[in-house]
Formats: sequence, structure tokens, C-alpha cells
Amino acid sequence: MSVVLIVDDNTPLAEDLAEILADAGHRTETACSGEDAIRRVLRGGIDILVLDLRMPGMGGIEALRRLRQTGVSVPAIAMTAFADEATKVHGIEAGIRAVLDKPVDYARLETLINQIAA
Amino acid sequence: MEASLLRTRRERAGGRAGLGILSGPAHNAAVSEPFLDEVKRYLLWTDADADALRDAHQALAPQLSEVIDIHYLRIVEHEDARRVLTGGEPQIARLRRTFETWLHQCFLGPHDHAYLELRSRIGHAHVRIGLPQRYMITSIGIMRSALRPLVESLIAAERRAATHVAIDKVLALDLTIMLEAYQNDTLDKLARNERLATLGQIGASIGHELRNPLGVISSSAYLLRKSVANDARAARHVTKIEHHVELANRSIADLLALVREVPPTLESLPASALVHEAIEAAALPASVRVSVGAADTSVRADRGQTVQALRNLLANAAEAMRGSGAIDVTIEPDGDAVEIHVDDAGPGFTREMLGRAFEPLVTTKSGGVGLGLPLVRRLVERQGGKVRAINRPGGGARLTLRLTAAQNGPGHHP
Ligand code: HEM
Repeated sequence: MSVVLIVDDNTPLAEDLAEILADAGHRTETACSGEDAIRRVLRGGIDILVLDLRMPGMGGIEALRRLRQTGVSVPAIAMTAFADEATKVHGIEAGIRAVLDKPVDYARLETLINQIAA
Repeated sequence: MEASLLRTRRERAGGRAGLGILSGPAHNAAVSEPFLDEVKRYLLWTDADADALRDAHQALAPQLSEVIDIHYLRIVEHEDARRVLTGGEPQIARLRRTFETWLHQCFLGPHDHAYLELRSRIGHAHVRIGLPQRYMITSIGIMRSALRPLVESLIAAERRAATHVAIDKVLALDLTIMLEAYQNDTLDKLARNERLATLGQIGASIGHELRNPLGVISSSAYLLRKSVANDARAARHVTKIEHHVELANRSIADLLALVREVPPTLESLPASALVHEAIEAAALPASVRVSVGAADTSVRADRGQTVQALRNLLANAAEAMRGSGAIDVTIEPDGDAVEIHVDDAGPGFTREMLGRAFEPLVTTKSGGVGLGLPLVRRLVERQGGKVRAINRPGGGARLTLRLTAAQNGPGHHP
């Protein structure tokens, strides 16, 4: 069973996404900022990241970059409410498997997580 | 409109300085009388000029139809000018009569405030049809050239010079008034754009704020759906929640797209593929049928932006028909352009709406704030294209996207 960390400053959304993925059979945790996410990942045990690209303070891209620098290569799915950001980020960050537009297509999120977890 | 015409530039500047975000320019500022007097004084307009014109009219009147012929001949012979004549022969016949009235009145006067108001209305009429002001200026020049030989042959030698002078003055007077209408409309447009830019920024940040709660509503609805699988009534309400969240998200997406400047990426694309993609994206109700008359032709366009524009036109057409009826899409190559027409079987535009269909915050719908068509214009103009709205002779509206044709001709796209 994979552990998915969902990172979004919109906490109720992060909690809902966690619940949706839990229903799909994954273990989930949530974090509410880039810094928070880095701290949690470095403690170990996280298999997949789902993270918002734009958050107050440290955004998703910066958080991923720092994790990569420390040698952590957890696969990630990015989410963004800014359509133009989705095209910019694609392929830049190794380890970003997909960029989902917000509002999130939950079925697609489930499929992607299942694929990565498999 | 007429009132705003009589204001001097100084007052306008004052009005604009005090522009409130929501109040807009002060359209009801006090009407100032001196405009006509100011122009007449500058022209050294005298009663003698008015008399000369009235006297000349007797001799010239039988020949003035020649002048009118020249005017319309020039327009219909000129491929750019005649584009604004969309109504065919009947329109030209009607315009000839109004033009004739105008021409006779130039000579007969009285050159008073009613005269001024009529001229400003004429100016506004041409702004509304999108006639560039250069055509007004050149038309007046053509009038002058056409009248000159008539004066030479029909006016007694001793009165000729005075008649020429008076004609020059009255044409200059008319042109000034008509161009004032152009300028006022342009200033109004600038003020409106300024206001919209501010409103747009506020709207965009509110839009972003609303996305968070909408995201939570939709994720919660998604979770709720699973728990109410056995409760048809609750499930129906979940569907409603999802549908309306989707509507809200679309409005926000339109608003954000309107404000955001995304440079287009132009590529050669088959027009019919764009149309079909848009039809799919529009997800119209089953009660709306869409037929596509496709010419095999390619356009040079940004795929995402063009599909979004077409999707909005289709949604607009469906709404105009209150969600049921037939939409006809036709693709028509026209020289170095390709036109995509979206025809609906709705009630068409009112005369007032027709010229403003693509302006933001103008809507006839009870729901919605009227961002769909302005977004279409923005998306298309950004790519160097154009949009147009007309009422079809048989009823219903026709909205047209005019895009650049792909250079390598139909069928060849890399
Ligand atoms: C000296 C120049 C011109 C004069 C005095 C003139 C006069 C007029 C008048 C009196 C009207 C009726 C306005 C109303 O609805 O109250 C009109 C409308 C119109 N004119 Fe002109 N015109 C001039 C130049 C042109 C040119 C150069 C074109 C085209 C290239 C043009 C195209 C039209 C059209 C299409 C309308 C119809 C507007 C509508 O349907 O509302 N005009 N014009």
C-alpha cells in the first residue's frame, strides 16, 4: 500500500482529496505548505506526492526542487489553477508525472495514483 | 450620446479625471452650447455664407443626384469601403435617400443645433458600423470635387467665388461635427476599457478566491455521491451541486482568460477539426443539434484559444435558442482568410445589441454577466483574426470568426 502526501494550502481540499484516495485504498497524509511537505517527506515513508504548484510561501515547484537537491526522488503529481503554469512546468521537474488542472478531475487523479503505485 | 457630443474636450478631461471605478464616465455632464459657435467662428462662418448656399441650392438642386451617384459609386467600387454595406441594394436605396436629405440640408440649413445633432447622429451611425474615419474625410473631399464643376457651370460668374467658399465651409463644418462623434466614441471606449481593466483585475482576484471554496464543494460532492448511491433524491441534488459548480468554474475560467494575456502559438490547423473539437468541448444538451458544412481548408491559429472561442460561440448560440434547436456551422474560405460562421435559430440581436455584442458586461441573458462573447473577441483578435455579429435575413443570429488562412493551402498542415 502506497502512502500519498497531499500538499495544498486549501486544507479542506487536501483533506477531501485524501479521503477520495483513501476510498481508493491508499494511505494518505496532508500538508499545507511547501516547507511542511519537505519536513514530512524527509522523515521518510512517503511514496507519492500530490502537490499544488502555487501556495503562499514556498510553492510546489520550489519544494520539489529542494527535495531533488537532497537526493529525494518521490514521484509527484502537480495541481494548478493557472492554465499557463501547467504548460510551463511540464517536463521541467524530473519526477513530475502529470500536471492536473484545478478543479481536479478526481477519477483521473485516482487512475494516476493507481498507475504510479502499481 | 448626443449630450456627450456637445461637451468640449476640456470638460471630458475633467469627467475622466473624476472617474470612479464603478460609476464610469459622467455621461450626464451638463451639455455645453458653445461647440457649434466655436467651430463656426473658427471657420469665419457668416450669414452671407448661409445665404450663398441657399441661393446656390436653386441652381444646383436638379444636379445633386449626380453627386450622390459619385458617392455611392466610389463606395461600391472600393473593395474595403463596400464591406460595411452588408444590406445589399435595399440598403443602398435607403442610404441614398438619407444622404440626399443630408446634402440638401447642407445648402438649405438652418445651420443650428438641430443641424448639429443630426450630423452627430450621422457620425455615430458610422462609428457603429465600424467605418474608419478616413472614409469620412475622403468622402468629404470627393463631395467637394464633385460639387466644384457644378458650381462652375451652374452658378453666375460673380457669385461663384462666394459659393465655393461657402461650400468649403459647410463641408468643413459637417466633417468637424462627424469627426467629433468619432473622437467622443473613442474616448468613451478608452474610459470604458480603463474601467474594465480595473474591474477585470478585481474580478480576477475574486475569481481566484472563489476557486478554493468551489474546489472544496466539488470534492465534497464527489465524496458525498458515493455515500448517497442508494438515495435517488440525494443523488439528484449532488448532481445539481456538481453541475452548478461546473457553471461557476466556467464563468471564472472565462473571466480569467479575458484578463490574462497568453500569447497565441500559431500553427496550421484544419478548420473543421477545430470546429469538431469545440463541439465536443461545448458538451451541448442533446436538444441542440449542430451541423457542420465543412470546406477542406486550414487556418493559421492557436489551437486552444480558437477552440475556446468556438466553444463559447456554440454555447452562446445554444443559450440564444433557450437550449433547443439547430446550430449551423459553416466554414468558408475568403481570399487569404477563412470565415467560420455559427448560425443559430434564436431571436437574433436587437438593433441596440448588434453593435455591442462583443462588449463586456453587455448581456441579454438573465443569468451570466456577458463575458462569453468579449472573450471570443479577445481570443480571436489576439491571433490577428476578427469577429462579427449579424442578424440573418431569415431570422436568428450569425456570429463569424475570421481567421488567417494557412499559407500552404488546404489539406497541407505540418
Ligand atoms: C460625407 C460622407 C457621408 C455622409 C454625409 C453619410 C451620410 C449618411 C447618413 C445620413 C446615414 C444615415 C444615418 C442614420 O441612421 O441616422 C448614413 C448611414 C450609413 N452610411 Fe454613410 N455617409 C457618408 C459616408 C459613408 C461612407 C464612405 C460609407 C461606406 C463606405 C457609408 C456607409 C454608411 C452605412 C453602411 C450606413 C448605415 C448605418 C446604419 O445602418 O445604421 N457612409 N450615412
